[in-house]
Amino acid sequence: MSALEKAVALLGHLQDRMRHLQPSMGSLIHGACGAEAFAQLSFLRECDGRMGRGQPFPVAWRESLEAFQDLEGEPREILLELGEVLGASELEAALSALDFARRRMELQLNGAREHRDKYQKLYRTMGVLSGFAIVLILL
Amino acid sequence: MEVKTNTDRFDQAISTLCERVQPLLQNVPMGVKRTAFEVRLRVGMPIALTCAGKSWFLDELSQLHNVPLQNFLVTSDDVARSVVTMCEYSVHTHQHEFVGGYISLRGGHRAGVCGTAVTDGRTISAVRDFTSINLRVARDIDGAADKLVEELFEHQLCGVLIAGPPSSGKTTILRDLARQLSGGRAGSYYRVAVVDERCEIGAVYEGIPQNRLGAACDVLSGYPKGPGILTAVRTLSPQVILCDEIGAREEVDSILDALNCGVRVIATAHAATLSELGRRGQIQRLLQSGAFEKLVLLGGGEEPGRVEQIMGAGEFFGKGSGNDDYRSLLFDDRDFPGIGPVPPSVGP
Repeated sequence: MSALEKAVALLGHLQDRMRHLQPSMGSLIHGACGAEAFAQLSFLRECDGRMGRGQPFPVAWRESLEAFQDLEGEPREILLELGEVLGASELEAALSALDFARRRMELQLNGAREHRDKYQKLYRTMGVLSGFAIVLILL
Repeated sequence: MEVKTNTDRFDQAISTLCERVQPLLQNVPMGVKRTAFEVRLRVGMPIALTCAGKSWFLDELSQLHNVPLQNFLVTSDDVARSVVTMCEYSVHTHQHEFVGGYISLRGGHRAGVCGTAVTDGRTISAVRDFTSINLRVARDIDGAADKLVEELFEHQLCGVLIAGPPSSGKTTILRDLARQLSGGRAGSYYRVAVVDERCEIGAVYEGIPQNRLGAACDVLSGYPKGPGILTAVRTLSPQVILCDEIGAREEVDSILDALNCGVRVIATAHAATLSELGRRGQIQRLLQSGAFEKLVLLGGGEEPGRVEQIMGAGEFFGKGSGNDDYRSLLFDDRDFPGIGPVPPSVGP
């Protein structure tokens, strides 16, 4: 879930940078991978390195994400889809795509949090009950 | 990619196009690579190359024909993908350039783009559905302005208007003039400010000039010419300002302001003949004000950069062959610091 939280923060960061600076995709990714806050998202470093070796952004983004194990399922799909829009569209379209991706990612994050809270209570209750059961058996 | 020759420049320029059309262009004969200065992609048409003022059409075997064949046609997807690759997958950073009709590329090349305008009232806010690309291969020709430097700048700076039809080499000559005047080849390291609205002269890309412009040259990249000229005068104290393709009222007003500050201006304008030049209202206004002491007319596209005629601006108005009347009209025969005869010992 930590990677998911970082991914939501990353999308907000990319949106802000793009709105205010309109950097090239190369400098956008390079800037993000240099930020301590996103150190856990190692696919950014991988993508930056690939672009530095001359790989086009869409290919570098896709291949880096596919090799990244900490995000899977829908969150990974969201980022993969984003790679097809970023850099290939004008500013407003890119900002809209980032905003849409961030909202979808937040839904995923909220779902993950609810899932965690629900099962956290369940496991806690089960732990207490198991403890009582063991005590009863021992008595 | 290390760029040394015209062939390298051609290869560098076509590397910005999409993957489907690149191989065809890579395989054209070396002689064509050396001389081609335009590559044109038009949806539904074969790839066209312009060499020595003529159009040639490419077939699927990279052979050139003087009539268009139908065996390899550019698709709308080729054009759309090429626009994205030319922007280095950062279309959003170039969208203002689309509105102006061109994209500046790494290496100093430039692509004119044509599509459907999205208008916001009366102004163009964006361009969509691209239909053509005119990729202009940058030709950095050292010595293109030798004749002008020799004839016009050997002893002192003067205001010059360079006129010529499209593809006559105006920008190439202007770039070499900037390099020679600020690089000491005209006898002194003149302080040159280049107002490079379309990023063609210095071709600054991500903060790095892609063309050499000499040791004493400042480049105002992307500045509209009018505000750029005024900024240069206020902040850079240049001896001479260079700008490309003048003609708008605001630009002419700024040039006149610069002249009143003792700065000489070297500029270019579209015009195939002197009479065409005379019919352009703002240019005529500029000439009548005494902004330029010399007029240079370039020849047509078959031999880009060929100087057809150099004349005193006074001659243009039938004031005799001398330039002195015209000069005194503007400067009252004043001498400006830093503008004048150059000591023979100065320079490389």
